[in-house]
This record gives sequence, C-alpha cells and structure tokens, in this order.
Amino acid sequence: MYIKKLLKTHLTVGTLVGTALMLLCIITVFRFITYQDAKQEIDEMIKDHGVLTAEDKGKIDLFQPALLMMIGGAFGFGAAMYSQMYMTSVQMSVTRKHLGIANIISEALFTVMITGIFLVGQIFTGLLFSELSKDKYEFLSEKFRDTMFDLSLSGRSTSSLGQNLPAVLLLVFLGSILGTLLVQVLARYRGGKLVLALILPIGLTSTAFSVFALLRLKLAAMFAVPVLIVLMLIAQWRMTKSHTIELMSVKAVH
Amino acid sequence: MRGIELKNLTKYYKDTAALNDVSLTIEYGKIYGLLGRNGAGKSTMVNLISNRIFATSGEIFIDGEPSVENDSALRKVFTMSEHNLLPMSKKFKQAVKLTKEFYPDFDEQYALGLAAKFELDINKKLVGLSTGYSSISKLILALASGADYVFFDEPVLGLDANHRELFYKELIERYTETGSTYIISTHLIDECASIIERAIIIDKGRLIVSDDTESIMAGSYTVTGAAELVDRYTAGKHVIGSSVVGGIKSAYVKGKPENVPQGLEISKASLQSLFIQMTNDQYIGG
Repeated sequence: MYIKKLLKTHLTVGTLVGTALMLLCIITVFRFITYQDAKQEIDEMIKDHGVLTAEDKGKIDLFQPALLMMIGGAFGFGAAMYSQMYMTSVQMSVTRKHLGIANIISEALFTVMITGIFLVGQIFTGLLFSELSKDKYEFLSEKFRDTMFDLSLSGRSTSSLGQNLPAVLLLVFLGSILGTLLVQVLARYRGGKLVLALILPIGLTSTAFSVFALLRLKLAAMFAVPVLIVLMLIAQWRMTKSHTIELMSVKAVH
Repeated sequence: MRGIELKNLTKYYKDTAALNDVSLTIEYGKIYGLLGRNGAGKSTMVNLISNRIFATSGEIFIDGEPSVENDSALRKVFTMSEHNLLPMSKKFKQAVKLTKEFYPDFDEQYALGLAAKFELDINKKLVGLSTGYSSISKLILALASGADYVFFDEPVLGLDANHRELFYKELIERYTETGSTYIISTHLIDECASIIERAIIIDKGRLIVSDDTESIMAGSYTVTGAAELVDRYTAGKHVIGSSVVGGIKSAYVKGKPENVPQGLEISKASLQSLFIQMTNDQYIGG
C-alpha cells in the first residue's frame, strides 16, 4: 500500500510529461546535429571525389550521444528520485523495505519510459532526414548500426531495433540503479556538496564510457551488463535497508 | 500496555555515544518535554523512535510492538522535524493531501482551519515559505496527523510571540480533544513549562530525569542570600548547583526547605533553572 503511495507521490503526471518532453527535445536535437554534420561531410566528400569512396566512408566517424544521454538521464533520475522518495518515506514513517521496492519499480518504469522516448526521438529524426537520397540514407543507417547505437531510422530499418532494444533497456536501467547507488554511497559517507559536485559528473561520464566500451564488445555486453545490474541491485537493496537520516546531508541532489 | 518503551537504547556515531543505555517509558496520553542541551541526544532519540536511524543496541516498543521496520507501529508515530522533508515544490495544500495519504486519521479540515488561523497561504509552495511559516506548515501537519505519538522537534523555531502562543493554545486544545501523546523537544523551557506534564531530561546521551514536572519542581527549591549564609545553610544538603552574582548566591537544593534562617529567601525552582543546573558540568546527580 505504501509502495503505491510513494510512487503516486513522486511519479506525477507533471513530472513524467515534463521529463519526457525534455528528453525528447534533447535527443532529437542531438540526433539532428549528428546527422546534419554527417550529411555535410558526405556532401563535401562527393563534391571532392565525385562519388563516396571506400576511403571516404572509413573517414566518417559518427558520434551518437543519444544513448549516453539516456543513460545519463536515467542516472540523474535514479539519484533524484531515490533522494526524494527517501525524504518522503522518512517523514511519513514508511519502512525501508517499501522504499526499496518503490524505488526499483520507479527505476524500471523510468527505463521503459526513457527508452520509449528515445524511439519516438528516432522517428522524429528520421522524418527530418526523409529528404536524404536512398544511398546516403542507407549509408548513414549502416554507419549508425556499426556503432551499435542505432535503433532504427524513421522505422524503415527495424532489424537493429530488435537486436539492440534489450541492451538499451538494460543499460538505461543500469544507469538508473547507479544513480541511486551514488546517492546512497554519498549519504553513507556524508559527502559534502563539493564531493557531490565532483562525483556526479565523474561518475556519470565514467559510467557512460564504460557502458560504451562494453557495448562495443557484444559478448561482454550480453553477460556483463545483466551481471552488473544484479550486483548493483543487491548493493542498492542492502544500502536502502540500512539507510538512515544521514541522507539529509546530500539534500543538494534534489 | 500503551506507550513507547525504550530498553537500554544506545546509539554510537563512530566512537561517540549519542545515546547511552537509555531506558524509559513514554506513557500514552500525556504531554512530554524532551529537554537537553545542544548535542545531548534529543534528536537521536526521536530519530530512533521514528525509525529514521537504527540503534547500535537496545530496543524500542510502540504499544508493545517492536518499532524497527514495523509499519503498524510506525503508523502511530508522526515526527515534525527541524528540516523539511517533504518535496519542496509542493504547495501546502498538496502537502496536506500527501500527509493524508499516509496517515489515515489525518484531519484535513482541521489542518486547513489551522492554516487559516495562522494566516498561512495554502497555495504557497513549501520552498517559498519563510522560516516561521515553514515551521508553522510542519506543526500544522503534525497536529492534524491523528497519530497517537506526535514528536515536535523545535516546533516554534522562527515563530513570533503571537504564533507561539497560538501554537501552545492549539496544542492543548488538540490534546484535550484527541488524548494523544505529544512530545516537545525544545530549548525554550520556560515557555512550555506550564503545558508539559512530564519532563525527560537527557545530557551527554544519558537519561538524567524522567518524571512529572510537578514532582521535579516540588522536590527542589532555590535559596538566595548572602553567599556565606547560603553556604552555611546548604552545608550537608543536596545542592544541585549554584550561581553567584556579586555577593548574592543562589543555590538549588533538593528536598524541602527547613529551619530557614533570617536573611535567606526561599523560592520555587523553575524547570528551566533546574534544567540548567542539572545539565551543567558540575551537576551532582541523585
């Protein structure tokens, strides 16, 4: 009963819609910029050589920040949501067990939401690039798939969607759990604002890049990410069960 | 048995004992004063009872049930903290609804009525409230919570004299109406001495006194006069503490005054003066 009440209190329609819109805008803008740069680069190469040579294709290096941003968003969400839920549960005398369950549910819900937003963002971006010629479009799609971050472009290519969606979901979930863990660790060790200001961006960046590296090695990602999730969830649960009012010292995160 | 029972409660923060082997009973249906100097262990005690922190050793029972991670026991406790723990972006009227979600006996109408008496704008966000009104918003939620045991941690922080008086008046009315237990942790002892039925005094993590306020005060008196005269009179008596201003000495003595020589003045010791003497470093307990 208290789990539902905690979720109802914090996962309000306003919070969800606001977060969704913000993420949608950021993802679309970043995708747009990436595609625009790539398109410009291709155009210049074609202008120079008449056609896109194999050497040219090798030179194009696409950087897609969208997934990193999703993980980053989930990380921030995990941190802020746990902190807020903890405060409410303390004031309303809710047990740690209920807080822990509510937190895991909120992380899972947000993972699904954030991934859904990413897919919508992809479709929007795809629509923006419907002007691309077939060969350019296919080349870019292939290039994006090579980086393993492409889910689909305007829904035309769905093969990579099925392949990558579970990995994306797991990574976003991991991001959210890590965010919660960071708050818990900081709370336990009474991290001050300075520590928080340093650790949040460092933690966020290192997590994102470790995940990036893992994802490039498919096999490692398939096993490492789920194992990491299980380990982190166990750590999160144990920390939640023993958490005390010291969390007040990291109020700055919400 | 109704009440909160603490059994050998100890809480360590690393090597520091914030609370040391405290055993006491908070009876149901009384107004308590939880008194102690800064860092005495008052907040630690309240946080332990509210399951906000966990004891190093010892047990807490609420109406006979262990309190740790126990929903049914914790539902009987509401704690108004010095810090605001509710989402700061919420308006006061939303905070009322939120509290009602978790405390089924929360009296919404009473809360809104009280907000009107305190002239608190219910449409204002918690983040936008001044220190005084922030305290008011929290104490309204506490008074309306409907919980059996309501803890107030510095309830009148930042309140002006009028609002403080209104709070004490409302507290007494609410107490008469609900019969619940109210525990006030405060430094303004003189102000609330008249409404406190029982006092719990802790110092340096140890329980010094847990008794009826009347008994505490009736068992002591102040003798004032020339220092030499006072010293002669108090020789062999249980002196809790003393203070000297100029040549005039005031001694706080346990027991009843007897054979008071001329030149000495006897008066009833106030709770605050007894508290000061009991919690100063020279206090001789007993």
